[in-house]
Amino acid sequence: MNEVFNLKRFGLLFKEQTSKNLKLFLMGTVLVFAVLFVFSLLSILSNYTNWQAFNNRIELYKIIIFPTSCLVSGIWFTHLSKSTQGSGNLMLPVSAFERILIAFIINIIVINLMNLLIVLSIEVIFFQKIYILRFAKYFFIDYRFYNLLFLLQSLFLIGSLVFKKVSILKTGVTIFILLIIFQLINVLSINIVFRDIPNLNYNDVFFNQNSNLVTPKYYDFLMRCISYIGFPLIWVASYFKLKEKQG
Amino acid sequence: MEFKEQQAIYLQIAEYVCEKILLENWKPDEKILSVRELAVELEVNPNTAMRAYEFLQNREIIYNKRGIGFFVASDANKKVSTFRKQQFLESELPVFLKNMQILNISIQEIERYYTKFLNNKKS
Amino acid sequence: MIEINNLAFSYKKKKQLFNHLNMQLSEGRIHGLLGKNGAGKTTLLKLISGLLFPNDGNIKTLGYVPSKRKPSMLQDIYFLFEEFTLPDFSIQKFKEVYSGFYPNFNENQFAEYLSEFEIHDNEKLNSLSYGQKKKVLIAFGIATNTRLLIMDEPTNGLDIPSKSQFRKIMAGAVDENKCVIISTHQVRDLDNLIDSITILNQQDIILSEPIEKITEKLCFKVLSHNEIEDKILFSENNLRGNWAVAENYKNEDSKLDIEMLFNACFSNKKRIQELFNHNNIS
Repeated sequence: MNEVFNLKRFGLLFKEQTSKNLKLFLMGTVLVFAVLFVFSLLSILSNYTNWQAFNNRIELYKIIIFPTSCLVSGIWFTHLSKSTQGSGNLMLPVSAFERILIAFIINIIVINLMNLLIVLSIEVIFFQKIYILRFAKYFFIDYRFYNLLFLLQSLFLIGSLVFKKVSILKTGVTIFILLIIFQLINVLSINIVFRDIPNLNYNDVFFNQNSNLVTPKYYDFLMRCISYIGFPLIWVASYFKLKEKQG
Repeated sequence: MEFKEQQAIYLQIAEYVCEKILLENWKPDEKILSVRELAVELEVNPNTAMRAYEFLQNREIIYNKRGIGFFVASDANKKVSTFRKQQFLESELPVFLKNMQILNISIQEIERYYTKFLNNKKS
Repeated sequence: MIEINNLAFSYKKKKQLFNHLNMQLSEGRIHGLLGKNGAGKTTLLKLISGLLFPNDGNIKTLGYVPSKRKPSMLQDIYFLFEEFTLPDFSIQKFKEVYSGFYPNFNENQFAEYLSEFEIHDNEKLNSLSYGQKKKVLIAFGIATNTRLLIMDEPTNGLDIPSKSQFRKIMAGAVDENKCVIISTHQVRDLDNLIDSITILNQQDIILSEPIEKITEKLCFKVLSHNEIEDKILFSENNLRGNWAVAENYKNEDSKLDIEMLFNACFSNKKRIQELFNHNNIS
């Protein structure tokens, strides 16, 4: 028997994971769709034009989708963390690779395809004429959207492997602390390196959005690379962590 | 089945089987419960039940037909009696005798009781 | 079937739980794993099944190194935990989802055990009490027909009739290829079911022997006056008389009393170990 990957086992695990989490997945999907639907409807009815702008809508999608998807992923992965549930789960005759693959397919691919589908359907329902392609492109090509989301979801995976109890909360807090540290570094670097340039927002540096800033051309490329490598690295690390996880 | 405190379980199971044979619940040359069935009925480990059957097989009270199961020997009744008698003499009688000694009961006294017991039974 | 050599394990660096632990468990038996609270029974079971990894020494379970957690090993082990959480399924659905993982799972057996336990398979798992859930898992675990069945305190939480049903089911479930390990405090529940006893103490194993061997070496009886004093390993006065565990120098056949054995092992560990080790060699 192949100890790393076996299609039958994979199918069984897929069935197990989906039957256990079907409700969760549907609830997440319905929640995202409902919030966006209601918001869009209200903005159309009240003629709230701010919402019609592309950039604002992207921000709103982020605000709704990011936390919901992270929460769904977080809850989905808890079976790997809880000590009583986790032990039983680790006794299932499947390989660590199969577990990671399922987690990846469902949490990164399925959930986000669903997110895209929701965004596009909202666009079609309320803003037929505008930018559908641009949204799709933005969703999957712009690394500041999907890659950041994937990164966050992945952090919840590794969080569930690192923390034994209340992993979602602990992961959330950890991410928050990391963000603060990150911003501190940003602010510090603005104050030290770019002291001469006036009116610099700290976001500008990281995302390279300020035209006053003259950064080398490879900067954008570098940032992309880092964010591309980030989340696969987390998955590889999670794989090894899972193999060594003790119950 | 209630197990006694002191005697080895496999012997108690063997006695249980003997009882069944003496009461003719299990008749000569009849197939008896399999080891597993007996173990389930008495809630004991099958290995212990097996040991009891081996014990009885060695005394030719039951016999084994390969692949079919265990059967009561045709002269099982007689053999059980012999076995029971031997057991009585070996384990129960010494206790009895010891009590006689402690309580200062003479063999004549016992004999009187025994005759009375036999007469009672006849009438 | 299970071989442990020179095992060392600790949760924290300073407090060593096991050290130089050796143990062998064979198939065809129901092994009782006994030990005081905190002696590490569950830990040992987790080490055997690959949920925990040894710090030193090695373990072989069904011929595998358990910490590798190979699926082909895992599909031959069923572990019934003392604490567990179950998904929000009906029993029927639970069977559908999980039975496929175990190639020798037998549906008829599962149905039979459930009815023995008086549980209907259309019930929702989460509407059942702890004891009932446990019975579902016991029924499922035995029906998987894995070569190794590990049960951590299986009778905990079972009511009185269920304990008898449990013994019946277990008595019918073992065969010469299966190895069952039951860890328990409630020795009275499993008295006649267990046919091999392993007693775990701080760091190592005091005794791990089949029952025939134990009753061959030790005798459990009411003391009479002419007993040779230094053959007695442990004695206790109670309503049943002055009971004792003694060396079986007269070759008597007696009924093993697990509680007495347990106490003898702790009050006279050295003698017990000498008795069994010495006779192993000769």
